[in-house]
Amino acid sequence: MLFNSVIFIAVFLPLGLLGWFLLQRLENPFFAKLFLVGMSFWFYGYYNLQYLWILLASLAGNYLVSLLLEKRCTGRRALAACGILGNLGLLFYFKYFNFFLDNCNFFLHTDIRMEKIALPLGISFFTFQQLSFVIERYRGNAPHYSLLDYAFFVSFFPQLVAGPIVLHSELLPQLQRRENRRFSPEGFYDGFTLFILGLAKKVLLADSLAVLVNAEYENIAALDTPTAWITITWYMMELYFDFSGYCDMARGIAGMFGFRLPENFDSPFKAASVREFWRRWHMTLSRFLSQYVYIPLGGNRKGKARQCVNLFVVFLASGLWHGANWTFVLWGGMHGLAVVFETAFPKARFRRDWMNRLATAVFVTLSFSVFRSDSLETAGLLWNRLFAAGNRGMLLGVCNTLIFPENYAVVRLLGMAAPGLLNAFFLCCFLLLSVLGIGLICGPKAEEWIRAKGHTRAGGFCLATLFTWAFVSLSQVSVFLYFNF
Amino acid sequence: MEEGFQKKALKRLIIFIAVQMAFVGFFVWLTDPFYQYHAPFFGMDAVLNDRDNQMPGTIRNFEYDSVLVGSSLAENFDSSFLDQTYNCSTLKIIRASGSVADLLYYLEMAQEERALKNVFWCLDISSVEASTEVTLYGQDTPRYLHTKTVLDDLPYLFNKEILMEKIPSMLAYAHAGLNTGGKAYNWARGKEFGEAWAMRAYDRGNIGPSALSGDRDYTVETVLIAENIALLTRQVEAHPETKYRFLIPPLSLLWWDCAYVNGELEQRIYALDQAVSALLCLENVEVYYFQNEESIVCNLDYYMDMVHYSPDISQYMLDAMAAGRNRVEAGNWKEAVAGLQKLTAWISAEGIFVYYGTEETFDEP
Repeated sequence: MLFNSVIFIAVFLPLGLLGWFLLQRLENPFFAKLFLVGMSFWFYGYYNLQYLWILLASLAGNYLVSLLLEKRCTGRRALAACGILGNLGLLFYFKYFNFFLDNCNFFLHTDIRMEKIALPLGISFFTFQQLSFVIERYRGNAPHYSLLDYAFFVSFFPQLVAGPIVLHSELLPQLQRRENRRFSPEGFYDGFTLFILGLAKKVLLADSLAVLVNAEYENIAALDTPTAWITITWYMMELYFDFSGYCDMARGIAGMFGFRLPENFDSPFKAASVREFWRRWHMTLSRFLSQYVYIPLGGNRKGKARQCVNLFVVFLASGLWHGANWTFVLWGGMHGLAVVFETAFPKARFRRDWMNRLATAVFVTLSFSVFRSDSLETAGLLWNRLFAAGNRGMLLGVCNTLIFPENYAVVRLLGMAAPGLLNAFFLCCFLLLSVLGIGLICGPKAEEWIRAKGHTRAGGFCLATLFTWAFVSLSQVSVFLYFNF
Repeated sequence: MEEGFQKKALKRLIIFIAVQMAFVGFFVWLTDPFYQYHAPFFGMDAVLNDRDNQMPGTIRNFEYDSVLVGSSLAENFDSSFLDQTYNCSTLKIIRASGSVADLLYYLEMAQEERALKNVFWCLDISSVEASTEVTLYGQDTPRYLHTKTVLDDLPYLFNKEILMEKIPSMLAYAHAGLNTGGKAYNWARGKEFGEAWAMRAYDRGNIGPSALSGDRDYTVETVLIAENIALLTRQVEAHPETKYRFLIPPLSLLWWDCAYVNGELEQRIYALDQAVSALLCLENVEVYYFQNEESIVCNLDYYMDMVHYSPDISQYMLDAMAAGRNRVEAGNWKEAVAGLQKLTAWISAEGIFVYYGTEETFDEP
């Protein structure tokens, strides 16, 4: 199920909240937890019930490892290794096997064919979350929880499919805290309003930006240099609002249930270096990779050269984690090189901070253009367009893709009454969205805005309007085949 | 922040959302562009320009006692002419593919809602060969269109496209008087008819008649044809109180030549023959046949592609039906079939070359 769907907002969420807080009135919290775990399984299995079996198998396997670690004093290392390999094996099979096979066929000139394995939703997130748990269990930093608590930790639906990657020590103590069982208007209000802002970012902004981005990525060969730059900048904004919106929604929903999820997004484009960018973008992934890859590799304890190697390896892993494609590896490698450069030459910076921010933003935007490309070939073509396609005056043509329900009536009216003004109108739409996007990226975070204005009458009205606008944007009238015969 | 203040803010936010959502839902219910809940209020004309989305609602909620059924070939028929001529109130039931199964789905829905005096059915030959599966409620079709319950109506009541595209369009069309009354679903506005347009739709290729190996075996298709005809006749027999008038529209010589080139000519004539023969055996059926109108079929000035004729031809067919012309009966039907065979043979041998040059210009294998 998606957060930005009618079924989730109109049915699942109210039902979940009602059940959770009503069952909390019982003395024994067991039923409330059981209810929420059941709801999370429904959430996960909504589109494909088979994925639920994978989640359940992974959950059961890791719980068994935890149980055995609890009972055995010897062979703990082997057991933890089994747990880690099991998780990595599951991830490899579902996420990387197709990629691995394709590369074997390519490099070894073989022709091994297998049916494509579908990637279960959120497998990277719940696998990493459980990996961290198994490691912490082995290190003795995590207790053995009851099966229900563990299932809650893994499956809690706000963080299940796209993070944040939560540590057991962040979520389970909240579940066990007695005062968290009471409905708190403050927590609920803050959570609900954060959810609304996240929903608006995703549905109203990211999805609108995607109209232009998708159209132009389909048509890279025809782009000139200015439109190629516009396309990658808009993609960066789309990704920003998509991910930031998702994180806000996840944290907001958890807040409505009385839980606080770790922050995953902290105005990343205010970063003055790539290293800082990664402290602000997908923060829980950076934390995971730092704790479980970078530090075990030696971190910065074995000299600068080794630190640089470690950093590069971490970013390659990060790239591969994002997807099974060489484009992701290249993207990770670019970030790795940038961070290695910053580490090796810490003084190679502009004097003014805004210039460092701008340089970071440009680098990140360029690197994410590779991330969005289907293949290295496409990425290469796009970079060719970015730097060597000249200006063929295609800006207006690109802007003309910006047809939304919101501007439909004006477009139709202008089309009939003053077709000559249509291009100017589309240019205005483009500028408006660009300014709005950049303004919001540079502005305060959603939570800061809520604290400052969210509790006022005007703020409440704005939030309600955003909610209504986003909600009516969730449904679309399907386009029928044979529309004209 | 103190709890009372938070409670007040939360209450206010929920009230704001409830009021806004209620307003949006009420506005969509009031204007109801898909006619899911009611016919237009305040004496406004019904704008019918979105057939797949509007059809179920109009069938459920409009007042009518007759229906005009068919594919896009029937879309430009002026239903107000039928109302005047037959003293009835006609609703258009159109499905782009025009398959018998899809049209029967709608027709049966209409028969559940209203007692029908007349069914005017523009029977596309290819519809008799279409699948007998109903294709109306596929994966992309909104569920709410085909159910009576309001429980699945959220995507209709709270939908940006309905609010910002469909409703403004509907109001603009109503204001301009387009696609209203007898001109429902009319697609002819802005379309061009003529030889150049029609021929654009058909690439005959470099094929001379003697290059073809003749008709394909269509044994398999006969089963499908028989099933479709059975569906049709069952429907007619189940409603003896309703008068069924079938119109067999004139398809252009391009269409017939295409059938010939593809080795499907015999199959097409067989399908038509079987369908009309079966219908003519039924008491409450009249069949009006226009395929023998050589002056129409062989004149591409009346067409915009291989099958879609101009509104003049639509009106010509209605006039003929009203005057009782072009009617075929069991006694003269075989003669009509023989005429069609002769006409199609002439088309492939000579008629088509009026538009595609002479046979001699082709390279014979």
